[in-house]
Amino acid sequence: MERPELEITIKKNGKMQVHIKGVKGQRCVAMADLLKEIVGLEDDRQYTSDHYQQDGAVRIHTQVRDQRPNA
Amino acid sequence: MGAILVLTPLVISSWPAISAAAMGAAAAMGFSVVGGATAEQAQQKRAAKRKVESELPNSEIFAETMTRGQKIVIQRDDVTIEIGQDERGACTVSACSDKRTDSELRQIGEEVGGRIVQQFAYHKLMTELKRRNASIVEESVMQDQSIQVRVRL
Repeated sequence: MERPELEITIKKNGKMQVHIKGVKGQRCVAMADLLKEIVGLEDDRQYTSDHYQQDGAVRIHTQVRDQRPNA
Repeated sequence: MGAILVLTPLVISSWPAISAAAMGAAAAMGFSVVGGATAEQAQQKRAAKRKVESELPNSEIFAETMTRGQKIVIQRDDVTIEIGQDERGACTVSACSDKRTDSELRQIGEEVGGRIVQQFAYHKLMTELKRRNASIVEESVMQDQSIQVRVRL
């Protein structure tokens, strides 16, 4: 699996933009929270398409009904 | 591709950490360090000069890490910048010159302040990421003076 990456831009006035790449779901949320904790104040957060993908796990929901014909 | 965060750094730290960021900002902007000075020495240097003081937003210097009146003084051409602390503990940037208007001095002071925040945020974030075994893949200073870093976790 590809290692996650951060693309960090720190502007000359100190404002920072961080693009978190290759991290999905709750891990992405945890990483964003960690970065906020390190830097300070969060002005904006936008999740991109990868965030909404699951970590390769497939959840199958099945329901079995009794379909025997009535006697 | 994950998430995009926009963050504003809090500059809350010890005097050595903030003064290191100030030295880095000074070097990046072509200022030379005049030397650490007491308030009295700094007062003499800026006598008869116009002065505009601004506070670094979201900043606090831990009082126990610096002596009263301690400052860093940097200079470029006719402009002298003093970086210190106000009574409430915030970091201050004072721009002094006898050849500039107040608005010019305010702009220079804000530029220096911004670069101090930039240097501080860069070092804090990199230190924390390296502690978590992150590796820097690419790093560059762009034409607009922003710092771009690509980090692999």
